[in-house]
Amino acid sequence: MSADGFSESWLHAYLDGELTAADRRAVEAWLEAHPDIKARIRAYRRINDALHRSYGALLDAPLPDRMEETLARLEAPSPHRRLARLAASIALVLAIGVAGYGLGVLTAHHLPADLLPGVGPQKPARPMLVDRALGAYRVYVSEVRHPVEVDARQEAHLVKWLTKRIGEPVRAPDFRSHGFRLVGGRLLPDNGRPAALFMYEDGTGRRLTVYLRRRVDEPNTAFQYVSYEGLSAFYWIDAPLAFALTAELPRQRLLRIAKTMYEQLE
Amino acid sequence: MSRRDAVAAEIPRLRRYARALTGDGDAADDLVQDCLERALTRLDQWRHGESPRRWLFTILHNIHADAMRRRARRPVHVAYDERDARHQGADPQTHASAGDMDRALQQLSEEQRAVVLLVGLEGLSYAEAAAVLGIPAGTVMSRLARGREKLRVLMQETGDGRSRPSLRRIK
Repeated sequence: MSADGFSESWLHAYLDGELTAADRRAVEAWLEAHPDIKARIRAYRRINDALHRSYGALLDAPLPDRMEETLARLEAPSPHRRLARLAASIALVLAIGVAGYGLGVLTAHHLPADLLPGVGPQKPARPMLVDRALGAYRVYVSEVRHPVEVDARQEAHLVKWLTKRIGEPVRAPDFRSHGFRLVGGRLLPDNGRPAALFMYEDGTGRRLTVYLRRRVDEPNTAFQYVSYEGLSAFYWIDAPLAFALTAELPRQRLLRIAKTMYEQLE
Repeated sequence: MSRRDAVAAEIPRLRRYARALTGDGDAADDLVQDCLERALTRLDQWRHGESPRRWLFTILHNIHADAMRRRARRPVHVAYDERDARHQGADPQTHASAGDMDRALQQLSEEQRAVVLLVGLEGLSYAEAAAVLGIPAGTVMSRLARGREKLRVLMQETGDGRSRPSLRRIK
């Protein structure tokens, strides 16, 4: 408390216009009786003035070229050109995929994946990838004691091991900005070839998985979305690897996480 | 207002804040540039129709705080004379008295400086400053009170804060 009246915080709140009119009047009346504190408030006000004098010229300064260039990229429909292309493809796939392939998965999911119908011009690259990823999610995410073979404390070892087995550089994406931390990972068989599964968990125990393996003969694809029995997955092929991100999350949320992953693996 | 224009309108304020915060024009523009780059990848976090001010200042603060943490792990020792010389370097985009103000601001803790500038220079409300810095409003108020009082003592002798603050007095 300052002297016998208002706390320091009140005096600053008065200065910064954070008080109601009634409180402001009360402080003003009190300050009249305390000229020393009133002088101090005046000094604080002069500090604000001096700050504006010292740095105000920057408000009118021309922007550096690099900032102008970055701004120009804001006018593109999406942050990155590649992402923009992806977004366009997603819209296309959703438009024709929900009607065609999407329904195909929902109604014929028990058929061998290779028999599933294609999606018009953009044939889905190996729905088998998604079947495997969803299967791995279902089997391992519910596991309490042994969800992973190698846990996140040995991430360096895990990544090195999986890189060696997959035969391509493999990394565990970092989803901490989305609230998910790495639990660990495991090696899985995928049609006789090695695949890797990374598992993540948020503060509430909700989990998501990243399934990846070498691309077989699939062409590169944009993000494609599948929703099945409450699970959502985005998958894409980006040679030399094929990826599937699976969780029980709304599509938009999972898409943001998929974009993060895509950027990190770029 | 287009998305570009809305962000562009905030850049001068971001530069001014970063300049006062870091005390260095080049470091400030690097910080703003990093902020814009990161903002580009996180456009979905900016609710449309809202002013991007709080969003952009938050991003800038987070980048700066990360850099400060890294620097804390690997301290860089700058001799006092050298720091003085650096501030006296010509910086045409700021007022001649910026050097004095820089020196005074650098006497504050990182936390105090951010609050004093967000509220006193950028005119953010306590609630906005709290959101940008990720701290409770009560902490904003206590840091503000301590930071301002320290600045006041630093500038006391000059009377109006216009001439060179006496730094020796607070040693």
